[in-house]
Amino acid sequence: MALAESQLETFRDPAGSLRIAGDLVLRRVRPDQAKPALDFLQSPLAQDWVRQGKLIESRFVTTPDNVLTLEHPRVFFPSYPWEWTPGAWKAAAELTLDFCEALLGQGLILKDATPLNILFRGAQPVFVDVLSVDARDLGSPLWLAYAQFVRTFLLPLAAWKVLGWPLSATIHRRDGYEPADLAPYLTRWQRWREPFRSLVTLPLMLEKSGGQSAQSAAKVRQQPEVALAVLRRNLAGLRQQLHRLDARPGSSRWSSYAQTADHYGTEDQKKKQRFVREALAASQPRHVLDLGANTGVYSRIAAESGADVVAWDTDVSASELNFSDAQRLRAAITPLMANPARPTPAVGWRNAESLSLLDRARGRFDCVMALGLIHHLLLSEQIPLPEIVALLRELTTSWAIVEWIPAADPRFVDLLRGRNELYGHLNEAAFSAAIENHFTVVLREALPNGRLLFLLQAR
Amino acid sequence: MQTLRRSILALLAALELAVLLAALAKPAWGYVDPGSGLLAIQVGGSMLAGGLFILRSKLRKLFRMSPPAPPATPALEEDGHSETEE
Repeated sequence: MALAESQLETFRDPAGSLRIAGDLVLRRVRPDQAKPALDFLQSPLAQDWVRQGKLIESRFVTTPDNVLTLEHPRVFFPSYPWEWTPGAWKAAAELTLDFCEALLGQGLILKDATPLNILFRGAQPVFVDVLSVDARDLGSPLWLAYAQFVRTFLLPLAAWKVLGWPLSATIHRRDGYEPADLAPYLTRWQRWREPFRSLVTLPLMLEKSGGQSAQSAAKVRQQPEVALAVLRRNLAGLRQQLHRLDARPGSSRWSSYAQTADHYGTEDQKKKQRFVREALAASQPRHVLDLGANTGVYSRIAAESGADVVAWDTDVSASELNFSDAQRLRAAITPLMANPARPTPAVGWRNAESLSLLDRARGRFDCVMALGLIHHLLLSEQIPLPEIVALLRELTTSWAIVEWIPAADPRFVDLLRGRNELYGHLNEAAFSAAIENHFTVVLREALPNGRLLFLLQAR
Repeated sequence: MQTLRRSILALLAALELAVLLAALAKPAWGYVDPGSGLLAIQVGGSMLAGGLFILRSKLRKLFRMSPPAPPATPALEEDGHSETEE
């Protein structure tokens, strides 16, 4: 699903492949490999899940070459697990277990269990890989995707929670972590405590003593009602492990920024929020990209105006607060861990399996917001002002709502760190000169604290 | 005689070193299936759970107790709507 025109047609699933065509996603299916999935799509359970927004919509279409094809709507902004907040990982894992559990009763099962089967609409996860559904061997109590679920969901979450490994590091591991990846970093005490005892230590010992081959595991047979009960118990066990890993990130220097920003008086904040509302009312955007969204105060204002919002920030605690609020309010906001100064690269085979952040963003948004961000890009990331303005123009088809922080602002001075010669000259005139080839000013407002707000229209 | 003794000692030392190295050699784990340990855990747990399930059913039969209701899967009515749908 997470495809764009420049991306490869997917090739890992023998049951079918996927490619993008405008706003549609076309999935070519090999009926001999995918009959259970195709039957499932016409079942009441599938229709019920689609109605609840938990499974992607599918429509059978005929193509000129007579290949069986499913047509799916394109999820507006596809994201990858390495851009998700911990809460989004948990929501995706829960959905995978819920889906597998619901399938069991229909004589079906998931043949794989990876976060790459999930995309987000707002903060709600959607299962998109419909060909992951397979017929269940009624006499087998084993879920063959169990180990993949552990590798791709539980071990990254455990490594994040206990060892502090960033979830964004999973970009380097297509199929998750192996127990041996984590073992050297655990203390003896951690190795023999849950969750690592059953996720790392015991599996590693069993691997070294020969483990269990898939062929011999296939010989494990039970009566169908016993196998079903055991499968349910195994799923419940995985869910319990998942809940053990449920942890909110601690507070960070950005997670309470909105409440503690002493350079913003109540009047400044009120005026800024009013300006953003006016700018949104004047521009009526449908798709807003909020850069440096922090906990999502302005993302929520944009969502209230009727726009779908994608919110990028680099701070995990602030983004998690944004995600949990969006999930609770069912707001049309997708908070992602993303940095415009170091955007997620393209990865996978020939750098074409997962698109880069900017490739997914270009041409998708009719409004970009950069509030309280430009001075960070200028001074901390050392990006020249014309480059920043060019990126803003690249990320919006029509509008930009921008906050300009003058060089005399105390926060600008904090970040300046004595580099006055390089940046001290950056006043409003410099900003106006930088934007003039890309944007025209539609609205301008000066806040009492000296900061300037602009609604800009793309030229 | 001296030379022969030295040669035998050197040979024995080399032999000891070879045995020591062989004993300390680590097997290559590069080709171990990383999923096999987790699969073994699942197989062991499933067999144990299956055994307990059967034992519990037999005890229930013995004491003529009715089994508990199965865990919730979305129950679908004839029109395809879930009973729990909001």
